Amino acid sequence: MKVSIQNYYRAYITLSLVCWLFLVFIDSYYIYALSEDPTVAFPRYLSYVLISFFFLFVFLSFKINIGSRKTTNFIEYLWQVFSIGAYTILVSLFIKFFLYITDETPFFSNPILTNLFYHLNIALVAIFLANAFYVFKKMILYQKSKRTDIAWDIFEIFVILSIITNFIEVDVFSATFLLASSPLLILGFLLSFNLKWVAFLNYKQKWQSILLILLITLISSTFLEQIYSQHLNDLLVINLAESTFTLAVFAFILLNCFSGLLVLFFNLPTSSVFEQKFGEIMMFQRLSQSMQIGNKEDEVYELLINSSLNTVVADAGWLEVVDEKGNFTAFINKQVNEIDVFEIKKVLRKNNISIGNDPNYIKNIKALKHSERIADISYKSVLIIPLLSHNTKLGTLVLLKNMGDGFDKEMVDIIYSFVTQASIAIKNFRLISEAVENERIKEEMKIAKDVQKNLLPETLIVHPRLEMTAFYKTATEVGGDYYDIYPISDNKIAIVMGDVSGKGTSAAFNMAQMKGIFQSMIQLNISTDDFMFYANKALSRSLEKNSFITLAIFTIDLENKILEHARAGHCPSLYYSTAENKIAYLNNKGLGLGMIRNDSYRKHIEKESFKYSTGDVLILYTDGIVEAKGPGEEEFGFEKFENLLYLHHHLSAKQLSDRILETLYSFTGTRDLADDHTFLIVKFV
Amino acid sequence: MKLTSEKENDYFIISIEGDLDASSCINLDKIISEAVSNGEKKIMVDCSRLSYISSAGLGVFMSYLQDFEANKVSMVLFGLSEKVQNVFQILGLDQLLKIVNTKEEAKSLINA
Repeated sequence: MKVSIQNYYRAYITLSLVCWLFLVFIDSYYIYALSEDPTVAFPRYLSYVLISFFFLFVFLSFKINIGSRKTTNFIEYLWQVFSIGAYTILVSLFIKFFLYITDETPFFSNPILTNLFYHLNIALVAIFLANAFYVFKKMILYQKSKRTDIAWDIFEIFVILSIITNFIEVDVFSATFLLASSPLLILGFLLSFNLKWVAFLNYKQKWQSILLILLITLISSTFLEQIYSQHLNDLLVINLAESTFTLAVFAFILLNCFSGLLVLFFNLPTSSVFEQKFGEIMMFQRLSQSMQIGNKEDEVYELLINSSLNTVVADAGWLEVVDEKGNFTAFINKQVNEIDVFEIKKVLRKNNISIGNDPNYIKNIKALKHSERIADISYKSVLIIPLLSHNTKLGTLVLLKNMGDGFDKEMVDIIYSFVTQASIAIKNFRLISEAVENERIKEEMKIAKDVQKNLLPETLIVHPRLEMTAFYKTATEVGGDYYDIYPISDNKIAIVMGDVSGKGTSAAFNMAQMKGIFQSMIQLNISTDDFMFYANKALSRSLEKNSFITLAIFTIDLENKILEHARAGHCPSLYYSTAENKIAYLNNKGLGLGMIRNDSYRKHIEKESFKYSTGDVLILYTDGIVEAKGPGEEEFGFEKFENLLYLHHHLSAKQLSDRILETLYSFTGTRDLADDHTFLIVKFV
Repeated sequence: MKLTSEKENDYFIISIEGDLDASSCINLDKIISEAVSNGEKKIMVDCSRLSYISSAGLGVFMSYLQDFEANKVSMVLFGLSEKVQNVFQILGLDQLLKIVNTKEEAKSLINA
């Protein structure tokens, strides 16, 4: 695409050059012919066609060249108009001067030569006009609206079309012509006031623009003056002074210069304010960008203090940042050493100037009491602004100025907005890092859950005469419920169910300890009450003061069909006896492990044993089952549990388990119970 | 949970109202530990409005057993609901703590 545009550009330049050369040749020929025989009449349309095409191609080539520029440096544009204007006018003036000094010389007063120079002049004027016209177009259409765009298109088309008026002899000062061309003039005038670019210049650039526009005006006027002086003096084949097109473009350029000067002059006094505001906007933009692109917190601090110092032209300052507990996390000082900061803070403290939720402003710190030690420092005004987010203090920004009462209200407001913006950024950083930390903890808990799951027995199939099934669910990721089995020998199996006091992680750790104790001690094939005694002894050393574990332990002698058990404060297990067809709670005497941490524990524990028969069912469970709450704070309770076993004792262990869960959850209305809940069913088959 | 304590002659009476669970038991622990360090020797706990006690709550009572023995402090719980009393019984804590029905019984047990 770019290549083809460049090709057009070259083609237009070549075509314009060809047109110009033809024009020079033909006009020279006419003049020569006329000088031989003044009565010869030549049709002039060929000259008109050539000049029209020359203008058209020159304009088109500049349209393409300037149209493809992307820069928004307006001084550069104006400089281009000026420099091309300067070159062309210099060449043109040189020609004029040359003609002037050679006026008496017969060779140079040759009309053909005069005509050649005049054509050269035409070419120079055309270049100057085309360049200025399209540069001004670029500036007018900067930040264009749709309406301006359309208005310009209409204007440009009409201006280009006016080239054909070369063919018609028009009196440019006649009333009819002025009336007919007035809409175009008005349009040009209106367009020339689209001077949005002026607003984007700083003070210095505005002065540069004024100078350049003045020079451009001078160049244009010189050209016009030349055209008219030639128009009055010489015999010309083509008279630019009568060309509507050139006059229209001249008028447009001069109008533009005029309106540009006017607007520039009026904008000069406000430009410093505008520049300052623009600077502030840029600072804000940088602050908000620094939040988005995930800069470090430190970079925001730097940006905040630098922006603040620049904006209010402070001489020094420091920034303190604190964490939630009020500990320092960052300190940045600029142009003030730490000792001075320390002394200034001491003076403020002695004068009871606290930094609350509002900015504090001290017009002259040296006028305060106890300020002897800071007598040597150069700062007088002190502006203190707290960094706040949701009423929590994130830090303090302090700005210092050498002169007394150096900060005005507007400055304080700006700094306050800066600080607000920066506070949001800092808060966001903290929230993000908190979120990351939470995510990490969540991940860790997931791992802990998996680890705990592995502490429970993988399978409950240990003997063909025992049908076992278990259900285990924690309220949080990890819990304090525990069950386990251990085949002591081919015909002897130990089963255990426990509940660690408390919840969550601490309970989970103690549950793991319990597992260790069970797995190691049960191998010794000791009686159930001995087991409790030694387990209590082991746990007494490691459990926290207010923690305990309840436990129910059973050993099943499958050969002799004897069930032996002990209970350390655990919920009494449910037992369905086929022989008696009734439910019993195995409620023998016991005490939670860790409740008494000496040998007197033994007297609180007793074992029990009895013969079981086929079809009997044993259920071990934790209090999470019986204390599960339904609607109206009512607990599931022992009675419902007991009835379930009584009604469904004939079912397999798995079926019974399903029935229990179904009943339990329909009672609670949810599967997410507030407490860990576990049960283990043993059916003797 | 609501926790109040009052001094009645040389009795230090703590009243628990509502649920004593993992989060609220910290306050009970604080009150008891303050009472012990203040040299209170006769502590009575009014459980008549205690509706639920979790294992963590039981842990608080349990954790002071040895302290009380060492400092010759006697603590009596009274007015427990059947449900709460059942929890103490299951755990075996009724063997270690003095539990009675009324305030009067509690007083006479402390003075015995």
